[in-house]
Amino acid sequence: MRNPKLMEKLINMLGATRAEQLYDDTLARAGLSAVDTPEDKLRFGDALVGLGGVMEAIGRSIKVQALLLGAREVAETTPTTAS
Amino acid sequence: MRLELPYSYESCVAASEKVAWSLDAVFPLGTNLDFSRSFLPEGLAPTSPLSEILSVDERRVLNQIASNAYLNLFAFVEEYILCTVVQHASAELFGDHAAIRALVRFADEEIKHQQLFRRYRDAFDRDFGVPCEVLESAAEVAGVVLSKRPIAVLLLTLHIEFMTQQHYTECVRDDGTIDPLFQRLLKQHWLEESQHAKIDALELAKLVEDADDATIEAAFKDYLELGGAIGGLLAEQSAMDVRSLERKLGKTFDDADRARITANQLAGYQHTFLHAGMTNPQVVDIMQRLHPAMAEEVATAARGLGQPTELVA
Repeated sequence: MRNPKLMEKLINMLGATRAEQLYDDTLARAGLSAVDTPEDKLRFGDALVGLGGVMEAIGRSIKVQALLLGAREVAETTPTTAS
Repeated sequence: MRLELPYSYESCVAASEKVAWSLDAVFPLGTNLDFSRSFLPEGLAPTSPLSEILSVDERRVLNQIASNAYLNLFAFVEEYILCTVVQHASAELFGDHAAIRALVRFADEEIKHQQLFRRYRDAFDRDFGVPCEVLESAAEVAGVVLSKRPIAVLLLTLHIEFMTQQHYTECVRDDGTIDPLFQRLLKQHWLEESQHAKIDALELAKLVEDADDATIEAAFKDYLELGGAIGGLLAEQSAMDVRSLERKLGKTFDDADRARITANQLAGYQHTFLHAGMTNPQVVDIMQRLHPAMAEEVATAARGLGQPTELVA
């Protein structure tokens, strides 16, 4: 089941169909099977940040949400991709 | 942990729109303070226990010094509250528009309150006649508060917001002896803080929804530590008050009288800023629902703070 708080943001910005696609792609990129904990949310946000543009802004908002819920940011946990 | 609350972001925005006010309408630039009157009621800035060592006029000056510190302390804590509210608004971006609107409005009002208190303090500094010392390390305090768990930060904010309302409704509103300008300033502050307390509670409800018992317990411990840190600041302010009083009166107190005045100020501040928030019925209700055992620890800590002797409730 997709996390409703995250889906709300994606649907508001992209519409339901694209939101579902992006959610599933981001989940895979983050190496997650579901977003259940604040740490999962942080990783999901990080994966969105990596996309740049408005997705980066949404990702940052999700990261703030995760931190407020108690996630702890570990220095540079997100794998960086060379372009 | 589900925290059911009888209000919503929408109802907070609607109430905020009804009571909105402008800075210039409440405190125009160039406003003069009436130093012939007390600014805060005895219940918030007690001086009657000092009647044996200070004359009525000297006690009024001490009341004005404490009133200046009172507003400065609010401006002080509103610095971290503003940061917290903006963080919470940022977390809602692209999502719950009703929450974003309530939080952004909350942030706007907090900045306005800081500007209001700054105008008051400028007028005080201009006309008091001598330098009046107040705490100045707002950034350090904000840093300490924001280093704690987000649930603890909201518990402290809830404490402050509900406490402000209690100050106005129980002590200020019906006091016919204090300066009407100061009374009006606190009224306008209270009108908007009423919504802020509810928005704090709504944000707290979100944070505790998936939090386990251990997380909530740890947040309560953080909150109690923050109370201790605030106690340290209040002690610092109390010593400053005595120096400001000596400067204004042009005299030096002996050690015994200085200690007595300092202790009186500290007891008053502890009652006003700590005890009042920790025992506020709405704060206690929420704390008991979150973690009954830790709520009892808070109640025990509040009892330890006591009340100044002869305090007018």
